[in-house]
Order: sequence, then structure tokens, then C-alpha cells
Amino acid sequence: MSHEISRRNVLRTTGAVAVAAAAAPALAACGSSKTGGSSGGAQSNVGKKLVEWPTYTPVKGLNPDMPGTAAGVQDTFLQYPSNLVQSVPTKPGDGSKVRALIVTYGTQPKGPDENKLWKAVNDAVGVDLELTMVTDGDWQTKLGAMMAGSDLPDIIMLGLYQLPNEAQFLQAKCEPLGQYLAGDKGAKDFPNLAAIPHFSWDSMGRVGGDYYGIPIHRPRLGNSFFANSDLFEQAGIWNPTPGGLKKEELTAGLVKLNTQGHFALGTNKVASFGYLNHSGTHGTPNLWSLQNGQFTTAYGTDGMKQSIATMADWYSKGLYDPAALTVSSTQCKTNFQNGTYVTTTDGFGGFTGYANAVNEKFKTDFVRPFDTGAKPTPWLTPGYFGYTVLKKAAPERIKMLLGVLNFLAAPFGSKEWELINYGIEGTHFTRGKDGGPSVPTELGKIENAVNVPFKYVMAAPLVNYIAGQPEAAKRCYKAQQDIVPLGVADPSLGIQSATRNKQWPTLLQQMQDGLNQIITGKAPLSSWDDVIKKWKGNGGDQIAAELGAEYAKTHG
Amino acid sequence: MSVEGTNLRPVWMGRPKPAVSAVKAVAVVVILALVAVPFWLVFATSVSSDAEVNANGGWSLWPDKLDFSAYTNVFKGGTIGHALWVSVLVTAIGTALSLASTTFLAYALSRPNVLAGKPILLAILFTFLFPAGMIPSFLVVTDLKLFDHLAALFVPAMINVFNLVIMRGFFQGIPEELYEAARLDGAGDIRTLFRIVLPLSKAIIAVVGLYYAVGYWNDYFRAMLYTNGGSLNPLSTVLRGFVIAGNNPNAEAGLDVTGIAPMKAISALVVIAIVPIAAAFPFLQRYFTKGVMTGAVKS
Repeated sequence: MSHEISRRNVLRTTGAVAVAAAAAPALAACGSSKTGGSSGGAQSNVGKKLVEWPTYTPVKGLNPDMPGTAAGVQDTFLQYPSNLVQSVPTKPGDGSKVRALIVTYGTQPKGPDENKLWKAVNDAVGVDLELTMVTDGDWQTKLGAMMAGSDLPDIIMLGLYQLPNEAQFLQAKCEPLGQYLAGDKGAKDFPNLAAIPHFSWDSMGRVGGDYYGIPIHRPRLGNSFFANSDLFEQAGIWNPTPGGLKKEELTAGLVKLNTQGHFALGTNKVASFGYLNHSGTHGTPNLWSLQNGQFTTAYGTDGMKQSIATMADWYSKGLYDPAALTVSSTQCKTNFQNGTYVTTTDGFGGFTGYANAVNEKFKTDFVRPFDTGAKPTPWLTPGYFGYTVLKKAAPERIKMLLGVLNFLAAPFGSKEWELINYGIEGTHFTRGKDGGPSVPTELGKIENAVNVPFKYVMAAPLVNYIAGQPEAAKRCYKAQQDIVPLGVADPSLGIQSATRNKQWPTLLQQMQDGLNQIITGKAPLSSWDDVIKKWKGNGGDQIAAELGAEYAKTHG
Repeated sequence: MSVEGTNLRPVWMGRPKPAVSAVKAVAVVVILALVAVPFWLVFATSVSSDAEVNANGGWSLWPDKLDFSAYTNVFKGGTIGHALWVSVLVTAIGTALSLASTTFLAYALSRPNVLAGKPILLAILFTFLFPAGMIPSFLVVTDLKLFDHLAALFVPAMINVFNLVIMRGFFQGIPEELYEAARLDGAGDIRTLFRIVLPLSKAIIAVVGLYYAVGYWNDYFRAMLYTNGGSLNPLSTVLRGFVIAGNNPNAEAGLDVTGIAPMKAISALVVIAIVPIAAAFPFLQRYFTKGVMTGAVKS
């Protein structure tokens, strides 16, 4: 019985992949008359006038306690603003139905008829917003199918994973937005969209000189090394100066903290021992780096090899949970919060969750890059979560939809932001000690921004505010100040490579499998060279070449 | 045969050695435990307290204190109850339609001298070996205007070739003389099906029905692909969303939205998803052994 079912599913899935790949050229054909070589001609920005981003205009009248920087340190608020501003004076919507396809990490909510949060936002925006919410795991499949179909939703969130022929799809089916958003005029018409920092737009990139999306901002710090800093202090290894602690000192301290029932280093099955963080500490450039017009990956660098050696050393000393390759990320979070793991690596955004869950029972903090002999280069994120595109439509409708997005991007400290993220006072939340909407009602536990995530349609730049945890917010700000300036960006973001678009997940898996083998001692460190060689042959070199060619065309 | 009645050992078989019996007993217990422990673990986790689940790293083998908050919380959202209802509806309608269509087709294809019977059978088998794949299926579903309708959850999977082949084989196993007798008594094809073939085929109908029911109950994929989700999501799709949400590196913070430990909520959902379909099993079990033997021996 189960045999039959699983076989059917397997066939279906493999069939899907094959068909998605086969369908790709057809789509490409819609986008351009000729897609020569690796990077499509029509998608290239070469020799085309680059349409300006909207002029960056930070929102006025919000006074953060600790101001952010243009490089990407977040505006920090220790308290919830007491006077909320009205960000969008008039209702942007025209009462029509607007369909949006977005990702979700929550559980399925009730529809707008029975959902007070959803209804309130719809009323405030002035449209009948119908959200199709797809889980992260199904996102690529669903998007692949929808892109092949003819009936597209009005608003689609892209960029979570690169899809096959994304650029071609944009040109064929989506509205170029430069004409509405570029320069000062765009900033005047849609001020909340113009408050999104330019690094987010840059990472999203242009296609054929124009842009089709609006980025959903994320902080620049990426994968972070979190620790119970109280324990670190006890072990004498807490040093908040980047490079202030030698690797050997850190390792010795971790060994001390690795006691019965506690593991010094937490990790999970998708994190591959936290290499995303540790390799940056060992001075690897970001995933891709650019020198003299040539792209290379961090995988082949000496720093990468050294960081693998460090992790293998930690593993052999028993500092990692032996179940590291099977622990889910949920379990890993729980283990860090309950003290089973003294440290963990996780996305930067994980900090808020830890601060709230731990609630100062111990201090959660960011381990600063330690001294490995190389200049630490923490990997910065692209600074965006995804980007939102609009299906081609008449200019009036596009303007209306941009107005809706502008509303959803209302900044922290506005009435709109509070409504979108927390709902209605008394119905979904009551105010905490600092006046913030931090105490959810029973309804608010179900109807909230996780389960009804308008934030994936469009959102304001994220600020560093952790309700009721000003100390944690301060630590987070300090860590950003310390780490962001050291960080290096990935120059390949926003540049198209057909091979990367198609093969990245497979290539990444191959790389992580090799990594896991060496760290767990199943393969010698010397085998890393073979992994790299194989990886390059399977597409790594091709990606580098394509990126280089495209970059040369844009910047040469 | 043994006189005592309780002793089922044939006379020619000696008493088993105690050591052999012990080894067998241990083996049986271990194998049973391999099956039962995961079920127990899920159930125990779902009824343990948050603190206990968290302290154990997301699991609980033996709840200190029974705590059904996960179930009440899960149902409080209102969507799980609805999703359960969608699952029941899809399983009931889908199984009924699938059984009817599969039976008719299998019957037709099992009779000799049906017009174009062989080419039709080959065409059907072809789709079994070379499925169309996801995107063509998606396009067919949308072009049939089934997208975002409840029917999209069962129409695309109405006839399963594997089940069709099993059923056809069973019908072919019914002695030709019975068909002949029915025909001599004046029964047409339809009457023969309802009066002769179906009453003799209870076992295969029960088994194929169970295959279909379990298939519909477990399928999350069609709802994900062929609908906009929301009120059309069956329990399996909701459950999958919940389970994988916490297992992705891209997952953003703040997953603990229901106020309960995620593993606990997931476990409760798993229990809710297992119980209805497991409950149907004992009623079909007596047909089951007989049914799965079908086609095992070709006479």
C-alpha cells in the first residue's frame, strides 16, 4: 500500500523536475528572440540605460534610540514609540479583488470573512486582498507550476529561491516598474517604498536595464554564532571585540563548557556545523568574490579549508552534538534555549526569538569573529528576503497596486505598521509595559503576522526592536556595530547565471555533503580538493564563467 | 489435531527449546516495539506539558502529567476542524467515485471481446509507466477550470492504474462458467456485474477502497498545487505546512505562534491525522488478507 503511494509520489516529483527543466526553454523563448550562450541577451543590462532606483528617502519623524547606518546597522528602538504616526493619508485601494501569491511560515489562517486581522487590513487598504500562502518547502514547485500557467495572480513574491528562467519570466509576464518608481518622482509618489535601503534594491538587481520588483528588506548580518554569554564569561572566553579572542582560547573554553548533557556547539541538519558563519571568521570572502573580473567561490579558498579543519577539530573533541546531522532546526533552537547547547548558529533573525524565549535567564549574544590569523570577513546577506512583482496590467491598476504595496511598507512607528503586524488593540493585542503591542490576546495568538503574513507581500525596512527586551536590543545593536563593518557582500547577487538558476540546489547539496563527511571524520581533509574539483566540473566553473561574462557586460 | 484445543502444534513437531522460544519472543517484542514506539512517542509528546517537551529537546516518552492543551489549541484556530472536514469530504467523495469508475473500467477490460479493449488497456498502462509530470497535469487541471475547486482534489486522481490492474485481475479470476450461467439465464453485462461479479468481489473492493481512501487522506500535493489553499486545504496539507515550517534554514523567527512547543503541536496534529484512517482499518481487516493475495497466484 505505502509502496504504491510513495512510488507514485516519487515518479510525480521526478517527473515534475524534468518537466520544469524541459519547460524552461519554452518560457525563455517568450522573453527574448535569442538567448545566446549562457546569459540571455534580452536579460542582460549591457549597453542599456539603467533605470534609477527610487531616491532613497528615510522616513522622517521617527527617532530611533540608536540610529542605524547606511552600511546596514539597523535603527534601534529600546521602547515602542509612544505617538504613532499616520503614514499613508488616503486609502490606496479601489475596492477591487487583488490576488497575491506569497510564502508562509505559519499555519493556515481562516479566510478574510472570518478573520478580523485580515478583514481589518483589507478595509484599511481598500482592496479585497486574497492571499495564496505557500509553505517554503512547496514554494519552488508551486511557483514553477504557476509560472507555466496562464492565470497569474496580481502580486507574486519571488526571490526566495532562484527559479529557472526567472529573468525571462519577469520580462514576459511582469510589469517593468522603473516608469513608476524611478528617481525623485517615485520617491514622492510612493515614499514608503523609497525608504527601503538601496543595498536591498542592488541585490535584487535589474533585468534588461529595468527592474520588475520591489525588495522586502532584511538586515545585512547573516548567519550568526549565538552563545549563552554568561557561560562564556564564566569560562573566560567572552570577548566582545572582533578578533580579541584567539581560536585556541575559544576551543579551550568550549571544551570546559562541554559538560555532561551539554554540548558546547549546537547545530542542525541543514546548517552543516555552522560553516556559513565559521568560514567568514576564517577570512573567506562571501560565497562568491570578484577579482579582476573573475568570480571565484569561497569553497576553494584556504580560509574555507582552515575553517573545515577547525570544525573537524571541534567535532573530534566531542563539542558538537553527535546527532548534529539529524537534529532539525526547531529542535536545535529548543536545545539552545533550554541550555542543552551552549551556542548555536542560526540566521540573524533568530536572535529575537532567542531573546524572547530566554527572557534574560541568561544573556544571549553574538560571538564576535575570533582570531584565526586571517582577517575575519563575516558574510553579509543580500539585504533582502525576496522581492514582489506585479503581473502586467493597465497603468492605472499598476499604480493602485503600488499604492497598496506602499501602504504595506508603512514604517515601524506608524499606525499602519501596527495594524499589519499586530492587528487591532483589544482584539488582537494589549499593550505591554513599554506601550508596545506585545501582549497577544487569545485571538492574537492565532491571527497575527506569522499566520497572516502581509509582510511577505511588502514590508517596511526591519528595525531592531525587541518588545520588552531593551537589553537584548542593545546587545544586538552593539553586535551589528561590531560585525557589519567587517562584513563582505556577495558581488554575484543581482547578476544572472543560467546554470546557477538551474543547478544551485544540487551543487550546494553536493558541497555540504562533502563538508559533512570531512567534519565528521569520515573523509580526510585532503579530500576537500576532490569535492571542489567535482563541484567545479559539475557546474561551479560554468557559473563562475557566466557571472564573469555578465558582470563584464554590465560593468566593463 | 490436538485434543486440548489450546495446543496448536501438530503432533509431528517437537516441543520448542526454551532458548529458541525466548529468542523468538525477544524478536517479536523488538519488531513490535519498532512499530509501536514511534506512535507512542508522538502520542506521548502530544499530551505532555510544554516544559517537559522543551526540557527533553522536543520529545517526551512518558508524560509526567497529562496535558491536552495541544489539542485544544490546535482546534481553537478553527482551521484544523475545517481541514479535517475537507479531508473527510475529499476521502468520501473521492473513494466513492474512484471505486465506481475503477470497477466499471476494470470490469469492461476484464471481459474478452470488448471493442478496442486491448488498445485502451495499453493506453492506460502507458500512463502508468510514463506519467505526464507535474506541469502538464497542472495545465490540464487549470484548463478544465478545476483550479481552486474541491473537485481538483479528487478528479485528477480518480482512476489509479495500479488499482485498476489488481481489480481487473480479480475479475478475470472469477470462473468463466459463472458468466456463462448468468448469460444463459438472460442477464446482460450490467446485471452480471451487479448480481454476480460484485457480490463475489467484496474483498477486492474493500482493499482497493482502502488503497484509495488512504491515498486521498494522505495526499497533500494536489491541494498545494491545484488550489489557492485557504479553505480548500485538507488536513494533510495543513499538517505538512506545520511540520516543514520549522525545518528550513530560511524559516524566519517566531514560529512558536500557537503558544505551545512546536513538536507538541506537530505531534497532536499527527495524532489527529492518523486516528480517523486508522480507525477504519480494523473493519476492513478481514477482507484485507484475502484481498492482497489477489493476483499473487496466477492460475
